[in-house]
Amino acid sequence: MEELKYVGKRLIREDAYDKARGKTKYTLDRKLQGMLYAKLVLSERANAEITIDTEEAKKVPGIEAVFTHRDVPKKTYNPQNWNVCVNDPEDMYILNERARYVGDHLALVVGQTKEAVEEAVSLVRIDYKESTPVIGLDAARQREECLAFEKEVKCGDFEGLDVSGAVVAETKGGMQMIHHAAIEPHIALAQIDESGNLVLWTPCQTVFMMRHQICSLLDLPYTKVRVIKAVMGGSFGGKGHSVLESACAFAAWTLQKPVMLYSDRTTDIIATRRRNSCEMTIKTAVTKEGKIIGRRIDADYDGGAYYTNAASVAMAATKKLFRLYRIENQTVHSRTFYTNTLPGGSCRGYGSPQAHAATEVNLDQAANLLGMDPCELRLKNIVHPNDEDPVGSTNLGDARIRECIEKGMEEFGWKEKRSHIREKNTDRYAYGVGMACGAHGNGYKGSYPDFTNVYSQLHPDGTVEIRVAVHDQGCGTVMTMQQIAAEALHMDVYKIKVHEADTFISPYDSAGTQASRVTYVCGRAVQEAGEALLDKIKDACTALYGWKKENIETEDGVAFETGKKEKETKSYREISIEYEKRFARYIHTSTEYESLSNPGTYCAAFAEVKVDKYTGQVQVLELLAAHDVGQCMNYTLSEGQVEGGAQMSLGQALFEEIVYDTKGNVKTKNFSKYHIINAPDMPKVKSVFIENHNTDGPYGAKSLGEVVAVAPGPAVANAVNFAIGSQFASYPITPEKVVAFLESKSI
Amino acid sequence: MKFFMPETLGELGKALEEKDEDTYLCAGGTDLVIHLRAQKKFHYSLIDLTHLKDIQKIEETENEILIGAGVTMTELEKSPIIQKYIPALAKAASMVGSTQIRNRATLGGNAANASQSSDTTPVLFAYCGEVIVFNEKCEQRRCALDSIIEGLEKNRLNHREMILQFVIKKENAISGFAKVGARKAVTISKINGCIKVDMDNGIMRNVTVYLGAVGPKAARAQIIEKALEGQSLRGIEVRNLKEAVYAQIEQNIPNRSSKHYKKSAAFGVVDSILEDLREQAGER
Repeated sequence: MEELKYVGKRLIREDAYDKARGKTKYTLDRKLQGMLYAKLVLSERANAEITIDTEEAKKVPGIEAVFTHRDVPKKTYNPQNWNVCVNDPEDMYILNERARYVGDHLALVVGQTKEAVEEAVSLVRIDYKESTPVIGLDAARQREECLAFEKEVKCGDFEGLDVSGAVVAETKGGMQMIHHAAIEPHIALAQIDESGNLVLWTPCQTVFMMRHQICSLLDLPYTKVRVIKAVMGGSFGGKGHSVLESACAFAAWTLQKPVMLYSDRTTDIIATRRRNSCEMTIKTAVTKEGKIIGRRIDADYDGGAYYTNAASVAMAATKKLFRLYRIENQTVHSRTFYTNTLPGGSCRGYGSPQAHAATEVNLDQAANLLGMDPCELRLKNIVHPNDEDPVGSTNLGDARIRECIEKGMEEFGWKEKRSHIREKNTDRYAYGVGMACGAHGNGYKGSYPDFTNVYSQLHPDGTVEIRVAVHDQGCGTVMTMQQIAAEALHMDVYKIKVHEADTFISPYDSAGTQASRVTYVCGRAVQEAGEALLDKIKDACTALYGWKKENIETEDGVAFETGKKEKETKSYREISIEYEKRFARYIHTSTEYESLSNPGTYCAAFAEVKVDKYTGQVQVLELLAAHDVGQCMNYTLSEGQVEGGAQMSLGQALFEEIVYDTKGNVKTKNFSKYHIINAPDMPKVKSVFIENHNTDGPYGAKSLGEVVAVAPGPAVANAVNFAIGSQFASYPITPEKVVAFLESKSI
Repeated sequence: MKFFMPETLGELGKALEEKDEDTYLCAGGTDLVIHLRAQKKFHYSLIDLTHLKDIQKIEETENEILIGAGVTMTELEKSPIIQKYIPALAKAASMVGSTQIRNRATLGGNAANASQSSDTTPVLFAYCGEVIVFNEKCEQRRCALDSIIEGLEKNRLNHREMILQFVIKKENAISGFAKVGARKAVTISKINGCIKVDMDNGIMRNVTVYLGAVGPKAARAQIIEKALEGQSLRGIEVRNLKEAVYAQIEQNIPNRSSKHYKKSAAFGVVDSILEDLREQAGER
């Protein structure tokens, strides 16, 4: 393989300096002339008919408008439908006419100052006529009308399988609702520009989805709505759906004034989106030799108060369950239920964390029953490169899970630790190691249209401009695209400008920055765009200087013809100027790219934990995560993803949970009650990358940003179970649960 | 809406004189701002205490340690006087909230806020801490801290009174503090505790134990005291101690469902404090 000069290098992203110094302007830092502030009024009841009285709120000096369901279009939408090809049921209004959960969007206050808005929000009077809310899956399963989605996917015939002589491991487990906990709460800013267009800035993941929904709700043509992706202070999927955008656009369009719709942490926790919680029962049959012959999984997902992704998250999880292990007979039956809680939404990993949590604990239980090392059991069953998907989805491609496990075991010192870790035990502390695997995808190929467009130009100052609708969520997507373009164009990374998504300047992209498609799909498109632009540069050299095209070489922004006695070089800048002068043309290209494939991306995580048997606290001492990435785009950014994903996954395993009481009130409304892992509790994370450079992605790359949040949690669960002999398969494994288990054991 | 910024006790007295139902004392603001937001208060007055030099000092007399109510957690943690005479207070202060919060939050605020989870209160109680209370007439009265704390975020100060200073008698005792929250740091105590002992050739004498967050305010744990009294610090019989801790929690919160967890966690807290004491005893 040719040595890469830009891709993979630890280049520093251009926004790093301002972010580190607090100089970056986020949407909340902006102030437009005549800008109004707006805030949502949220339901305080989980299931009720409502009557809203806005008179007192309107009397607060500086208040311009208080909108309710009476004012907004009588049109429903589904905030996850990202283009015309996605038609999941639409059941949400911009402001709802009935309260379906605590946090439901019922009114919108708009005023000249935040102080006025906050006061008016507190004065909007809502009378509730309550009905009994449905909280939790147990309650939802009792009510027929709560079933939102149901599907069974199977290969082989698990039900007809003879399991006599096999070991059967049965596990009941699950995953809680979590909050994304981006540092920046949701926000949107809209104004009317000088031509009467509606312009909306939002830290979002899909500008074309916002345009699609706003135009449909406000009955505006696509050409009149400009959505610009704003600087983002984190998303983790939380800003994947539209959440505040339609209300902000509605207010600005109605008032014909700039409006900033802001929120706070509590709003962000109770009134945006969350990871779909799930309960799973798993039955796995394994031969004495450790071959999995069949598995049945029944999974129930809590979809919340509106449909949103009821079907898609359940299907995403289901598909992953067929793509990690070779299981000839497997049935996955999944259901999603409506409840009177916060609607589910995209959340880093999208179904994969749910799919690989309890199942990975189940495999450890099977290994235990067989008296087999958990890594060995997995190695006997994992998928192989280029396996076909047993239920007809895309080929698994260059699946390198074997290398993840083997390299991970070696670097972690698995065998040594597994045999000797317990020697460290004291009266108070128990030690354990555990591991888990996970799988994720690379875009939508096989499910939804997955294509993008790139427009690129070489300017007469020697800079290159790339227009592709990417949304940097803070993880360095722009830098990644710069590195890919630089590699294709043989020129300085920092002379390449990659504009983020803007519906007025970016060419259309089918699906946005989600589904782990950006590096794999958009990145490959940028590579092709760069190659096409380089080809044009070479054509220009032939036309201008009479160089033979096949002899032209380029390096660091300079072109020359090989095989000449005296080397004549021309910079891209000179070529651009001379080409425009001579031929009255500009050097530019348009590239259309449809994804060719959707391989699996894999990971294996290894954890060492210390369990305080008195306080029940679990400390993760060491974490190693091995990822099958094909090719890292930038090791610094890749490690950042692995560490951040681990932080999220460990938090999910041990600390985080949006807790509802039986009436549907949220008990964890801010960070004093909703605990994410902070620095003192975060272990050092060791990243191992398996790079086999063999995919349809740019320079052989695959996705990384979501799969990183899959395996660390279950690895910790398995480590805790190994340390104290428990069988925890439900998150979070709280100190209370650990103590309750130990007390029950000691009796 | 009014804003007072007293720089002298005289000015403070005047500000207190004008204090109405919607006037709040603000030192660090780390609890106040949260309360104002939660209660949706939009129109209120403040007495800013951050310019009152008189309440920002830690002083030492022949027999007493005097701590101004405006002393921050960071200052307590770093003060050589506190580290020497009230080591548990330095430790407790170091475990409150985050660095940013510790830089603002004050001892007076922590006591007056009267949270059941306060980290400094069990220590101050273990040292029989007293307070100087100031009022709008510029009068000062001295009383036990315990007498002005009701608990569950209520204090017994009169409407125009304020804690000016804490007074702790100097002792030769060593003391330790530990807490258990949801995580290691930046966390509110689910349970915390302070143990103060006189060391007599490796034997613990005059043991005082206070536990926090197992009742409306920090409470003396006499069952645990009895179990430790006269014991060797390095040779404690674990089973007896565990039984005593469990019995103590049962006595404190017999009807709370959290008692099952708190029994075990309290044992962890006591074990950690004893470890802390062993380190201190080793140093002396």
